Amino acid sequence: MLSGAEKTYIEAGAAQGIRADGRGLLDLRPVTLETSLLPTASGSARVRIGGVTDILVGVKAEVVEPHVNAPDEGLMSFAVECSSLASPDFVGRGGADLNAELSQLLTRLYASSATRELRRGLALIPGRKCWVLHVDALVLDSGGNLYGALSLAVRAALRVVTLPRVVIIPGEADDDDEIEVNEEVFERLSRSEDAPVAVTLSAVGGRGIYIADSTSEEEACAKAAITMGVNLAGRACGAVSGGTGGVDMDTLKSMLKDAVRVGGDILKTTDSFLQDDIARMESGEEVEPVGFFS
Amino acid sequence: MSTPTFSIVRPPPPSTASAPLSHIPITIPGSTIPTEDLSVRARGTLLSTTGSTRVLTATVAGVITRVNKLVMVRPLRAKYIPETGDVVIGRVTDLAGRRWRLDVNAARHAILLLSAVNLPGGIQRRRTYQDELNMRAFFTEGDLVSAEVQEQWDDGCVALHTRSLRYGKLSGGTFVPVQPELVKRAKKHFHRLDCGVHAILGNNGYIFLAERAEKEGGATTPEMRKMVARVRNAVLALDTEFIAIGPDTIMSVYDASIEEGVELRDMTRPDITAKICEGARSMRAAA
Repeated sequence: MLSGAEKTYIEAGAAQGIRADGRGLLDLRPVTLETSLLPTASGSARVRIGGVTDILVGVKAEVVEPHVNAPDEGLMSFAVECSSLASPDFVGRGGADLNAELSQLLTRLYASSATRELRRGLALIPGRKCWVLHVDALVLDSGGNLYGALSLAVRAALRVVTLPRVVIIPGEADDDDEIEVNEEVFERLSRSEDAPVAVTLSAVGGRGIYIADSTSEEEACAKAAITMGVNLAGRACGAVSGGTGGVDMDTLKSMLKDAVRVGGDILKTTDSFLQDDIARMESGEEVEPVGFFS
Repeated sequence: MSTPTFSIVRPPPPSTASAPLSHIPITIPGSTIPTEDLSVRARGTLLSTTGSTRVLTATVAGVITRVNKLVMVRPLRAKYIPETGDVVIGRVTDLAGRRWRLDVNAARHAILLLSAVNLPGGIQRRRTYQDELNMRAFFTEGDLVSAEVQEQWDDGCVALHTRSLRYGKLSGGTFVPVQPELVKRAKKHFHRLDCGVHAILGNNGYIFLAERAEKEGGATTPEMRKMVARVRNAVLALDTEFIAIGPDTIMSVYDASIEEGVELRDMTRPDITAKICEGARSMRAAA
């Protein structure tokens, strides 16, 4: 809940290009990111934005039959749960709608053609065997920009996922090919860098003014919001609109352009950050995770 | 338009600087509190019986405190516990007959009676039915109000009053909630900081920062807005580092951030937060 005076202050700040925390309109809050902190998951990540929004993601894998419409692609299933720790609104079934909305967003981002190569990397025997990645996300705290934080955490987890090596044994005569899972050798996902990240821009105050990475107070003032999935190639992987208000065509165009720019920035910064984690993982070096003590 | 910026860091490892606190008996929920036979248990403790042995365990994380035979655990983090005379900031959650209910970060909502506010004009008179119908004209849902704790009722509710020109609706600034333990009771809670920003440090951990003390005023200039933002980030830095918040510590962090040439948006980065709070920490350690 915000008072009218606070809304006025936030809107006037956006008009001047200085937000309540001193950021510019398209600046993002500092992010802390830790990967591979869950020993039981194939890949995991925890993202905190601005010390508030807090997302934990774990990825598990199993071998299943591929979908009939895409026999040469693996599967990904997404489940998001808003913990009742994050807000009293999420107690009981309170978060059910938001859970569905967030899982829907992820499903949409990863169903786009821009991630086809990533899904193909999960195929084992076309039409018969493939990996399914169960991506489970937990919202531990919410302080604005849930979409962005969630997509960033999922992407970071996918970047560090390792799966056991699978050897395909050709079937003799009429027998089908079989697979053998080698639990000794683990390999990273191919093309995990294709995973997109979501950027939400919220229109606040006057015409043509919009902000990136909004806090929950700013979200309460936003008239409309556009969420865009962006990948490394600068391609859009789906867009979602939110809010009750509208945006004029010129603003929408520049919003989409800026979303791609901000998204590219996020992807580049995250990837250079994750390089260390990946290098360490591949060298087999053990690092004590900070986990929940941060 | 500015270029988007974005910094990403690893979470800081848990602090290992335990030396200055090693003499303080800190406990966590479930751990046994050493007691003598005649100890009397108080808040934050639980007597558990396993077989024939009875042990006292802590129910909260905090400091074990003993007063003669009384043993209690004072929590390090808790809801605000109001005391008469405290300056607080509250947010109106709803209106009921002749009263507003305010969230003051306490276990229960505080009550602000219609008879405990100053009516415009400042005259003392009976509150009429007309006034009751006009209550939303004073404070409406969501409004931030500075007030003083008038009394505590027998049922545990707290009554506030705004019967001074200092108190009332807050506007033209930014609201920062922090942990209530960090705002100590002091003679003064309305400050004009050295940088010119006005700060109201509510005892309940609700802090309001604005350019001017007056309730109404013109538009905020960009320079002033940046200054308010820097003070806000300084307050949040102190909150993260668990350092008591007062005008001296706020200004120490504020000045340190300028000296180090820290950009406004970087002040909330964990590594930078720790650095700019060093001065304030030693200031409080010395006190």
